Amino acid sequence: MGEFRAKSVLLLLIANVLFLTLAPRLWFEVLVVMHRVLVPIVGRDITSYAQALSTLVGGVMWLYVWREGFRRLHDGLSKRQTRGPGASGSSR
Amino acid sequence: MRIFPSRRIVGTDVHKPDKPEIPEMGGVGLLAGTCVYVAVAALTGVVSGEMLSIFLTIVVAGAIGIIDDIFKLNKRVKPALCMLAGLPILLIRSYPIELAVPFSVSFHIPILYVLLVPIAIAVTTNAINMFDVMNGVASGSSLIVLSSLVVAWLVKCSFVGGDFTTMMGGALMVLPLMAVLFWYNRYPSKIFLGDTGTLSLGAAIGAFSIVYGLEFPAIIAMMVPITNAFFSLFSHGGLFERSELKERPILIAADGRLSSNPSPNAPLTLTKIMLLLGYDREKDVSAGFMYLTLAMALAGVLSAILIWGARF
Repeated sequence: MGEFRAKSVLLLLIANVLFLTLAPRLWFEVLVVMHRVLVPIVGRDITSYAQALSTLVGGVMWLYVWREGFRRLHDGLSKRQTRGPGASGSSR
Repeated sequence: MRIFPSRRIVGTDVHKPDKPEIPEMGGVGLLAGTCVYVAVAALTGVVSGEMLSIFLTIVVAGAIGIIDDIFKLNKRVKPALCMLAGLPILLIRSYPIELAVPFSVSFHIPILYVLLVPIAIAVTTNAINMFDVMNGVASGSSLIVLSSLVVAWLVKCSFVGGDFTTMMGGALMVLPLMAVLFWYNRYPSKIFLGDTGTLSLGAAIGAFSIVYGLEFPAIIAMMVPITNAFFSLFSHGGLFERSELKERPILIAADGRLSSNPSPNAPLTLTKIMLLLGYDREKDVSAGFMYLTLAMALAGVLSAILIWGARF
């Protein structure tokens, strides 16, 4: 095994791990604030629905960002390969 | 290994220029080994509920793998059947009701957890199955992930208590067999795992993480196989079998060098990205995947420290 070339993949994976590690705690704080603010206005039930819906939207957004990160890495590397190893600068 | 070729149970090693035929269904050895281990444990009276749950989950997943290896299951039927492998855990009730995540957050989800167990087993089995991309990748990464879960359990035991010997009974059932399987499956493979092997390995990881309450460290440690499965599914627009791919994501030159298939019809996989990053030999790609899995396994152990070790 020669040089470790997958540093960009490793960085994306670490970013994902950091998000997964930090997000539940931060989101928990947001849900507590939502509970405190919304319950007196709209009641407990609607607050629960709002919390569940926002959690679901957050999850889907995370999946989108996760996919986009790797897709862009793939597209960038594909373009670089098409241009060839010696090419540099703008293609325009 | 001699029986399989005589019965034409072989797979083609597609990433070699001469396309050799390799004995398949190496996972049968893992299944047989776990059966012997549990039989001996039963005779000596040391079978715990946790060990039995893990064993039955592996056996059910392995049986699904055998059926798939022989009859080729439908792409939608296989993941659905894999969910059945989670049933022993539910029936023996060897699952926690709390999902612990870092920074002192835990979710008390007794009903939701029952639904999550079959889904989790289906995810781990199919993620490892889809990660069997090159010689030794699925077996090696499974070995690394399960070893990291043993360390994560040690972390958990040292901070919140727990019976380490019970867990070691479950770990010893599969870890040595995984190591042997990796030895024969590593580059250049002398035996292929087959769906029997990949589904059994995935089931072992899934069952181990659920039974010992190590779900979060397992998700982190499994990040590379899960990411690979996630992108394959997204780029293909749903479930698929390798045989129905119009174009393979990897091209093989006459000298054995690999390259990424630039065709838009080729699915986006982690292997394709690895090749675009400059790896061009199967051995190097496999080693690259091992390093990535090792890094994520380490992150999984660190997450265990953040869950049970640190107080916030």
